[in-house]
Amino acid sequence: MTGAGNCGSRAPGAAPAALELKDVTQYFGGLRALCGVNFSIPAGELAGIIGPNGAGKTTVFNLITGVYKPSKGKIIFNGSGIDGLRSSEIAARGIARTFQNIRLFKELSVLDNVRAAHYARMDVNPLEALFHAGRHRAEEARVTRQSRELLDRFGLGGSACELAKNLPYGLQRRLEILRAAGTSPSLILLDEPAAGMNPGEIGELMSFILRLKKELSLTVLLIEHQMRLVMGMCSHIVVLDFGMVIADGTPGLVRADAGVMEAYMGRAK
Amino acid sequence: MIYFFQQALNAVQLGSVYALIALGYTMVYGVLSMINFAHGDFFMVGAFLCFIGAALWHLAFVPVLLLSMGGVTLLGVATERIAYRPLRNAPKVSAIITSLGVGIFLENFTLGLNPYPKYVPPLLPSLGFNAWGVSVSIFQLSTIGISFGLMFALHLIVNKTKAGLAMRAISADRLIVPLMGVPVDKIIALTFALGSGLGGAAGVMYAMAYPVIDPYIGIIVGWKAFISAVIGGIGNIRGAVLGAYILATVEIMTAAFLPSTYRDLITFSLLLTLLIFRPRGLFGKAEIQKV
Amino acid sequence: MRVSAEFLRRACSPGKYFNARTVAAAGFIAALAVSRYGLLDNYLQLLLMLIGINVILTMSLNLINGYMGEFSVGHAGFMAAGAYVSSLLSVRTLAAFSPFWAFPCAVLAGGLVAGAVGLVVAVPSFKTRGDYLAIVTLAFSMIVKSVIENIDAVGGPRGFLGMDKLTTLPWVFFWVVVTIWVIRNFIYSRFGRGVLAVREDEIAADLTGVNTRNVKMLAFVVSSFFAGIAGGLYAHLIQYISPGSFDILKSTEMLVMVYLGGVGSIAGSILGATTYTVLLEALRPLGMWRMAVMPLLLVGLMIFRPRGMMGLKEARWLVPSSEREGGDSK
Repeated sequence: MTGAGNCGSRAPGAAPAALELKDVTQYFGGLRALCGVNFSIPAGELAGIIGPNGAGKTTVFNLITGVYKPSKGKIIFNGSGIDGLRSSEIAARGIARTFQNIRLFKELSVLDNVRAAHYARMDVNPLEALFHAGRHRAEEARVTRQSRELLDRFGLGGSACELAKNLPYGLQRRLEILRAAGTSPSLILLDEPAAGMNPGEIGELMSFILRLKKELSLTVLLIEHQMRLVMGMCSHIVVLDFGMVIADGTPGLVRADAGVMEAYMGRAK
Repeated sequence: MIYFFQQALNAVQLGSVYALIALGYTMVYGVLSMINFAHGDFFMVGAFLCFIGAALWHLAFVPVLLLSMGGVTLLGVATERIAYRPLRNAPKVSAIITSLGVGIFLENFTLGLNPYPKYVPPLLPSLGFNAWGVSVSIFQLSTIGISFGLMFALHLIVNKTKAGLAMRAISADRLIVPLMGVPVDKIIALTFALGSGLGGAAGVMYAMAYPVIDPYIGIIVGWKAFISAVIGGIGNIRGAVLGAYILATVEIMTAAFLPSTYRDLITFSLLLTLLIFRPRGLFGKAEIQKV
Repeated sequence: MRVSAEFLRRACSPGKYFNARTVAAAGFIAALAVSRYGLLDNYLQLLLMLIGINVILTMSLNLINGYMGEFSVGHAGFMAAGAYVSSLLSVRTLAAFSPFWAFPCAVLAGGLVAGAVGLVVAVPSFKTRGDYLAIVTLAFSMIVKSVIENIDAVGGPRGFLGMDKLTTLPWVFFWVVVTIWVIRNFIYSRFGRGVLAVREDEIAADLTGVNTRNVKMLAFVVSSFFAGIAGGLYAHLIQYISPGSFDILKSTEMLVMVYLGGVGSIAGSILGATTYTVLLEALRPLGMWRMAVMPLLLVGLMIFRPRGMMGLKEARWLVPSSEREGGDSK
């Protein structure tokens, strides 16, 4: 059904694309990390990227969030091109992400991790901040309230004052997701959110992500190796191998795809 | 033109002194990723040991050189053991501040012992010859020759011995190396010993070239050597040597052809420009952003 | 010595006994009374003013080195800019005006010029980090020093004098309070959290929407502004400045005060600057050896308390009231 390079598998009349990658290619020196990647994620969807190690999954995230500038191709978010923008600008436009290895602001409190993420959503200029002006105080109060609400709603309210580094691993993962949510994104990218978790924790994480998606009406794109999580949650899966999209469609389609089996299991002789 | 060659010779001589010191900075940085700000003062102690050997004990050149190198080696190893080792797992900045503290201590301790600048008597006969109009002294030749010799010896140690291999391994990954059975403490001590020994030798060369010494010579010369290491890409041994000769050439040539007060201005402006375009020096590897 | 003991006690005391505003008001009145009626002898007044100037410098450097986690070793350059600009103004341009207005204007102008200079250093900090940025700041301060040495109109290497002794205890106290207040506001703001985020993880900060370039520029401008203010006060206290007053040793002294007191802490800055200045005076009987004893104390402190006396902790009375329940996470 879907082979290499064939990605037009979506039914016509689907929701408008929140994110669209058009022929994205990335070189690192002479190494080609991604080759002509095309896919699009409709708004409101929970999509997954899977693929063997080194397939270029995290590179896709890094390109979307502006860590690297694509060597070739376009990345379109809500109808406008974002490739070449600075990371903070992309975040301000509404794409947030987490990292494969948790990257919290370790020495800051849980609350401050989330408040720091409000940076782009605050309307305060430097002079107002330096001189403690009314607008600065009002904005601070608003952000503090909203951050506390977010933490309370998603089960971290009790540790708001703890230092992020002191949280147990599972909560650090969640805090990282909430920090991403603190930027008020419309698209959130999760890089292996279930890495290092046991089956029970994965189940909790899945319902956490689903609830977050629903309550904050997010589009979610995640990278994951845990097939249970991907197959159980994602309505749309993109499979990468050696920097190329080898399958793109619903979990059922992807599961049945011969190319995917081959990428994961090797060629049957 | 003869003037130019004369200055070029001076540049090679000064560059050799810088290079010996820069090697100490860069080696310690290589294994500990820590800037040892006391290193310039190790060099200064070397110059003072040279004074002690030459003026007080009336030793000849080679014993003085050995005295300085040995004394500063001990100082370096002791400093590492007492002040730096307890901080190896502390925030990096604490170690840097400690090294600043050790430096200030060495300066002022030496100052307490020697309140007045000291004059180092000449250790080598002031013989020389004239090569196509450029006057070359025995002293300049021996400075350059000994520096080259020491650098070559260091090259052999780092690249051809087991200890050198361990050093390079630690600089690549300090956390994993102990698991391979490498005695990290010993190797770090050895690194300090080698780096400090070279600094001691530089102290002798400097004291012979500029015989009036005071406890603060380590600051400016030390920073210059440090900058050499940065120009080359700190942590990179060949880079440090090359950086030292580049810096010395720039300094000597600006002083030779422009008002000498412009020397620091031009040197540091060049450094700043270099760092803006090559933020990690000439040979420093670009920092890989791992996300 | 009474007031410096007061400093120490305040810096360590829990907030319920002190309200920052009353302390500031009482302190200012005390400072006014001391300088008007000579309640303390000149030596103690001088010592207090030096403490105040050092507090400003330490807070200024702590913003970059403690809160933002970079390593500036060239803050004496900013101080020099402020000192020379304010001295030039007060000797050449504003001499005709009443010092009551002319002096604060000169000091402020010095701070503003230093702030503009800080912007220049902020630009390399976009790309350069850590040890290499340290070298950039060092190179910058050496450039400032050489530029001054090469301008004959400000005395070149001989230095510059002619300033009246306009720095008084109330002025120093006033600027200390302004520095504490503004830097505190800055840290507990949108931009301050950005600064902390840059320290913790610059890439993650960028990807969570923190405009790291703006944040770095702001931090450098604020920091160098106050270093410039301290320079202006210093120049009008000592009444003589020369390029040598702002060399690496001066920068090193600031570093020592920051790391002695503790990184990322206002209380730590006050404590560090006060301890250092007082200790240096107390060790005076040791004569030449005091500068050998001082660094040994520092090394000992670093080995036993690697983050300085207050490292990353804040005295409660320095935290804005709206933040207090949030715990001392900064």
